[in-house]
Amino acid sequence: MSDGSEIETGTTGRIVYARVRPNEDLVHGIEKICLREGIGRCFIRGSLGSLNDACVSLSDETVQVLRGPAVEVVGLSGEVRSDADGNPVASVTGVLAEPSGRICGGRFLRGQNPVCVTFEIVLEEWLVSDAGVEQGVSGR
Amino acid sequence: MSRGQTARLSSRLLRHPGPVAHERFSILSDGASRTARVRLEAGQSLVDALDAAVRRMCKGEARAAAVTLIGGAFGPCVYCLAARDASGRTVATYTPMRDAGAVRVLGGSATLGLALSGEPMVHCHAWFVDPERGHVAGGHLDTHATRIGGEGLVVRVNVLGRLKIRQVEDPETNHAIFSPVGYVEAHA
Repeated sequence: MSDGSEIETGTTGRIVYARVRPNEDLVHGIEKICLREGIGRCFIRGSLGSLNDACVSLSDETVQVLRGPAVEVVGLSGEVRSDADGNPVASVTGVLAEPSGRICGGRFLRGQNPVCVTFEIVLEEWLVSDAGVEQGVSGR
Repeated sequence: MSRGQTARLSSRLLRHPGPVAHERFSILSDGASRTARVRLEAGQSLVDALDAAVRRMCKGEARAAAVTLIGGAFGPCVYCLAARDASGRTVATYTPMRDAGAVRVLGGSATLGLALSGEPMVHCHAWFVDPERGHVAGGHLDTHATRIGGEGLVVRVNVLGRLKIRQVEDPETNHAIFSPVGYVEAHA
């Protein structure tokens, strides 16, 4: 019986550094970088920057808007996977500092997180091995 | 949720003072990069500590790197937040630097590149907790004034292959911004 977890083995490929200019969306921006570079899967590495305003989800029902300018992104993590048609889909979460100094966090909503001055994005390509995905088996 | 609240659930686009650059993404990539777990020693400034570590990883050469803060301490941690620019020269500027004293690092990211002057420069955003009061804060670090704290700082370093990252003047925003500007020439 599967325990529901899965292990995807692979190796890291190219490293990508991108400067994203003002008013481009953070999540779309990461996906556009993957399209341009032909990257199907990657992990987000040391990335940082600022947003005009930030819009993050705390749960399926709760969305929070943080007002800048600018909201500093002080922690960022996430990955990009490809959907069934091969389109890049980024999942990005972060920790944010408002101009007031208040700290909060959440998952960035696509299309609602425009870059303020700059955003530095570093992506590490993830190349899945031929063995693919191993489903967990309970009791082992 | 009321209509008023719905209307506020929207992020603004902002007009910067200068001409809008045609190209919105500057992207460079390289093959698999050198990666290391590094424990930085207490006492050094963040910029000196990272520059020295990357040089040791790259046979003495200065290289650009992306850094993930894993855990440890800063002492002192000197940082600022974003603020509106009353002069109108920029859309967003920085508050004065504040000294948070000795803090435990909760996370963050940094880029090591070259400043306009050609000197090593680190752009770092991090979040941290004041161990006395338990207060969590974060922001843009002064990486010369911020020093590695007593327990050291563990980081993951991804050397960015042969990519050159350099601070360049940006007429659109009136800020000097890290940008990928080319590749270091390969040595025989």
